[in-house]
Formats: sequence, C-alpha cells, structure tokens
Amino acid sequence: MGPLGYLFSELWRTLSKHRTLCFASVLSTSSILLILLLFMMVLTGVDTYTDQLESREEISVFLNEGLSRPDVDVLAGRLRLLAGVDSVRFVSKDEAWEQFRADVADEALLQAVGGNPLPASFVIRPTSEYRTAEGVRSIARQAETLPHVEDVRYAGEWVLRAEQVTSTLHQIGVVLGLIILIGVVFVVGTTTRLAIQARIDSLHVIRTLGGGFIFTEAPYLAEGFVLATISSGITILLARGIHDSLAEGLFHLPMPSTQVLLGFAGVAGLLGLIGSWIALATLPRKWLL
Amino acid sequence: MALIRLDHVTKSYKNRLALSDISLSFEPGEWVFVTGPSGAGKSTLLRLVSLAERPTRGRVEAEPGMRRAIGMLGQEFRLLPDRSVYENIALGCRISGVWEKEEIGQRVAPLMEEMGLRGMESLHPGELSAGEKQRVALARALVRHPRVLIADEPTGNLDPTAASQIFTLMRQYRDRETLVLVATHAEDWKQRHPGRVVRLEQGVVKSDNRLQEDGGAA
Repeated sequence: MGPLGYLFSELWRTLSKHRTLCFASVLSTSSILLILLLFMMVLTGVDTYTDQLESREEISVFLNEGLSRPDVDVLAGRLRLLAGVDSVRFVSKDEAWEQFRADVADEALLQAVGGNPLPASFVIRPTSEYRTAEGVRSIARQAETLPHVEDVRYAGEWVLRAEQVTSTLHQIGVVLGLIILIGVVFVVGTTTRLAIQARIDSLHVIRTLGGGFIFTEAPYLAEGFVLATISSGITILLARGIHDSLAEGLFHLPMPSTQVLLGFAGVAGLLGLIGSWIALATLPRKWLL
Repeated sequence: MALIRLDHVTKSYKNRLALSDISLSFEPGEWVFVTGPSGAGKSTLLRLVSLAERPTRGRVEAEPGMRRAIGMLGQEFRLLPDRSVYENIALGCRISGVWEKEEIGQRVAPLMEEMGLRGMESLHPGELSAGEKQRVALARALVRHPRVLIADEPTGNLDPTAASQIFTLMRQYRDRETLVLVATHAEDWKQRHPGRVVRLEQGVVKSDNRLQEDGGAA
C-alpha cells in the first residue's frame, strides 16, 4: 500500500466512522447544489427559447406579386440604405414555399392549401444598435414607404422584453452561483472541521511521530473533495428525476449537456477541496499542541 | 564522532527561560539518563535533541535527515484508538517512508515477538493493559530503526513489573548502537541500568557523570 492506498484507506475509515456526519453533509450540500442545477436548467431552457426568438428580431418585408428582377434589385438597394439595416436577404416565392413545407411537414395540409400562395420577401437584420423595440419599429416604418412593398412584419416589443428577462436571469444566476459557492465551501468546511475535532488526538499523535502532509492534511482534503463530488452526483440524479417527471408535461426543463454536468461535478469537488483547505488552514493552533 | 551535539544552547518560551547555555554531545550506543526536578528543563532538552524545536540561541548539530531516524516514547502511550496494534506499529514505518507491505511485515513481526506482543496484532489499544500499550508505543518508535531513541518519563504510568520490562527492552537497543536518552524522576532506574547521567536544575547542567555497572562514578 503506497501513499495513495493509505489515503484511500484513511478516507474510507473517516467516511465509515463518521457516517451520520458525512450523510448530513452530503444531504445539505446536495440540497444547495440542487437549487443551482435546477436554476441552470431553467436558464438553459430560457436561453434556447430566446435563441429561437432572436430570429424574430428580423423584419420581413413582403413584396407585391409579379415583381420583375430589376425591381427587386432596386428595392434591395434601397432597403440596404435605410438607417439601422445590417443585412438584407431576398426570399423568393419558391424558397418561402419550401421553408413552409419543411415547417408544416403535413402533406394533407399542404395539398389543401393548393398552389403557392406565399409572396416573395426581404428579410432585414438590424444593426446591433437598432435591435431595440424603437429601432426595429423605425426600420419597419421606413420600409413601408418604399414602392412595391405589400406589407412589413416584425415581432414587436415582447421579443426584446424576453431578452431583457433572460439577461436579468443570467445576472441572478451569477449571484445565486456565488451564494451557493460560499454555501458549499461552508458546509464542507464545517464537516471537515467536525471530523478533525473528532480525531484531533489521532492527528496530534501522527504529528508528534513526524507525519507530514500525506498523514495529516491530505486525508481531510480528500474527504472534502469526495463528499462534494458525491453530493454533486446525487444532485445530478435528482435533477434527472425532476427532468424526467416533467418531460410529459407542458413545462419542459432541459438537462444540461454531459460536458456541463461533468464540469458541475468538477466544480463541486473543487469547492469541497477549498472548504476543507480553509478548515485546515484556520484550525486553532492550540488544537494541535 | 558525536551523533547529536548541543553547542551553547539556550531555549526560552515567551518570558520563561527553559534552558540556559547548555553544551552537550551524545555518541551512538550511549545510554543517557536526563534527571532533575520538575521544571528543570528535561522535556525541553529532549525536544531540542529530537529536533522538534529550535533553540532560541546556540546550535543543535545533527546529521542531515536525522529527524527521521529519531524514535520517541512518552509517558502517555499516544496510540491511535481506531487502529489495531499491528496498524499502530506499521504507522511508524509508513511515516518514515517505508510503504512496501512486505518490508513493513518484516519489520513489525520480529518487533512484536521481541516486545511480547505476538498474537495481539488485531487487538485495539482499548483492549490492552498499560504495560502492553507502552510496549506497542516502544515498538512503533523502534520499527523506524531509529539511531536515537528518546523516552520522556516512559514508565510514569506503569506498574513496577511493566516498567522493568520497558527498561530492559530499551536497554537492548542501546546495545545495538542506538543512542537512548531517558528523562525520568525515578532514581532507582539509574542504579539498575547504569550509564551516563545528565542532571539538570533550573535550566542548567548541574552534573554530567557516568555510572559504572558496580554503581560507582566513572
């Protein structure tokens, strides 16, 4: 048994001897981490929804029927010159129909529609400064005045409001993350401190015998890391359970990707390590004398 | 050549002077009693010799890496209650950097035999008598193959029979070129296991004599 084996045996000794304490610590840490993970899942859902909405910042300019190619080119040029326009993309009648077919994907419905009733259009993407409710509205008003324009459509203010809400949620996420970070460090640190307190005599003896880092600090650091990592694993399982139970319902809570979950577990482990390290570093010297 | 040498060493804690201008040297295989009344500085001297503390003034000279070659034995047995006798002794090996299971076994088994602990491998300290506990503590100190064995009042908590056993076992190691330093109040051990006697009083060396086997001073 080398140093690593010794570390594992010490870890097992502590975990099995202080089962109640470790269980309480894992339970508390899991509860705290679950709040963060659920919030991350809500945020992932909102982000996905907002990504879909982003395309709705675009302004669709529908054209009159039977427009010649030179008329289309002239109109495209005039649209590009409008204030706040970043890019202009032409969508022909055929392209619009193909997109519609792809979106509907119901052959019976498409046959009921008959021929292609969709007009050709321009899709305008505003510059970043104009991606506000007022900016989008001003571009739409200018486009309406141009010749050969049948109609102008844009999503409206609620899309932009949704983006503001997302942005606020991200800010809340950062604050919540920081609070939970401190919470995990505190819970694991307290557990480590109690574990040290329970074994202070042994620790003192080992120090007296000349035991270095591997015999004194390392087992407690490993304990903090393992407890927090186990907690994160339980949290992920709980979150998966919540995700699955909601899957059939109207409100869908997306599960973060495997990479994100691995990162979550890694960060939790690191927080546990930091918590234990703080507990060791702030240990009253009189405990060891 | 001296194994450990103290050169004009002074040690003080805050405002209290524990040792004052001590110069001593210790050879391999020496059997040394450190005696004196309470507060004379015996434990401080042993802590300095064990290289666990540094002097306030003066120098303690020892070979590099000597710290790992020092075994300690105290009045309190200081065994780990949640480990077996074997594990307590093996811990001494691991701390001194011996991790191989076979080598640990080769070191621990003969010591257990020698200390009369055979058959107690799996027992825990709570199941042992005071004398047995101290023999485990001695085995733990000796399993590191120390060049210096430092014992601070090693028989303070033992009955006369157990105390005698401990002294006999320590004496064997002196014969194996291990420097053995024993701090004790009890005067009779000096007569029964004669050797060098360093007497401290109020932090200074009052006398440094060698007692012969017949009880006379050298």
